[in-house]
Amino acid sequence: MHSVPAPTEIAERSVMHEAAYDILGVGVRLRSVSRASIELIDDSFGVFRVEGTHGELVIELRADAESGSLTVSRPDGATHRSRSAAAATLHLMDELVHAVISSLHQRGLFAVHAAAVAHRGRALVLAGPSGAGKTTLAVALAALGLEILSDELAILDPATGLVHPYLRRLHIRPGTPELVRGMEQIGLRERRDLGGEIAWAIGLEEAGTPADGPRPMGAALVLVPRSNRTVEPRFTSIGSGQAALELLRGTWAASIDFPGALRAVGSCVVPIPCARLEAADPMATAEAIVAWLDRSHG
Amino acid sequence: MTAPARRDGISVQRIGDETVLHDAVRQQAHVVNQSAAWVWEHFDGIRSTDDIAEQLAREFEVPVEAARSDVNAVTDAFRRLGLLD
Repeated sequence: MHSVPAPTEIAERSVMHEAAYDILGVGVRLRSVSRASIELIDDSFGVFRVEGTHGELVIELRADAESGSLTVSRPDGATHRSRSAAAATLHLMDELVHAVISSLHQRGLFAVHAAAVAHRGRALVLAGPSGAGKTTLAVALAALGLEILSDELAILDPATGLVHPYLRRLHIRPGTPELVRGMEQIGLRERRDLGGEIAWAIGLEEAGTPADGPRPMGAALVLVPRSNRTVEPRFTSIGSGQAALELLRGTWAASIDFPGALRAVGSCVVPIPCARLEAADPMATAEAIVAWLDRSHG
Repeated sequence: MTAPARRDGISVQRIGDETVLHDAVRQQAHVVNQSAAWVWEHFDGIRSTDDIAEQLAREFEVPVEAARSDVNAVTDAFRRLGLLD
């Protein structure tokens, strides 16, 4: 298991390590007293890494030698203290994601907690709570040849109806590699602590074909917790109002302007088929999803 | 005879065939179908549920008793959700 240095170890260092990222046109610069924290974040976000001083949004992880605490400061000046280096690193990563989400929102883009893949050129957004199986289904669909856009955030553009790729490396939990065709070797790799029981970050190209650009929104599925008795995937059509609410669940955009976010995300789902999905075995469910997409799109 | 009234602070948005009622104070959102949304719009604190049911029956050409039953059910549901005064 990978580990980051203890706070006292970090506090003895005076050098600030830096990394700059360009994520969908949002420039963010991380500064940290811990090289290990940058390396851990790079493991997921390295694909967005850029050289130089790129990044107007600066997020810092500093150490206070006297108190032994670690402080993450956001671009808006807000700070958050952690006693553990691991917690501080994960908070640094959370703040990176938040900076991106809020900047995208200013450009009219909405980040919803969903995986996204594309079938026959149209995006399928897979929403659901953390641990519902979004990533597992996304990689299972990728194994069937669908393009993959993201396993974590679907970036919706209500003005164009497009879903943008968010090519952060895929976060894989233990148990997933054994369930998805072609991923068995992933489970043999050294595990890392990426928070939320995530053990591995893998490139999208390892799971399948990353989308090379935005795709028009084609369908939305909301994953519901499966019971142990679920033997076949079940689809239940839902209306666009319900789908919009599900996509907005837990999003930052909804927390700051719910009516505006509902209007925007609602406009994305009105023209497309939406359903709740009770998943079964991932590969069987992925095949059922492809059949559902083909039926839905005629 | 009750004349239900919509509580202040509930915003309404039509999304496709559904309507979302957003209660900003309680931070809750409720999805309702077209019929329930129609009933919601008629809760003005003046018209009774019987008046609304009769209007519903006329506009949608359904039996008055069925309309009355629907309006009462919707009223109960909205009241349970705290959407009415």
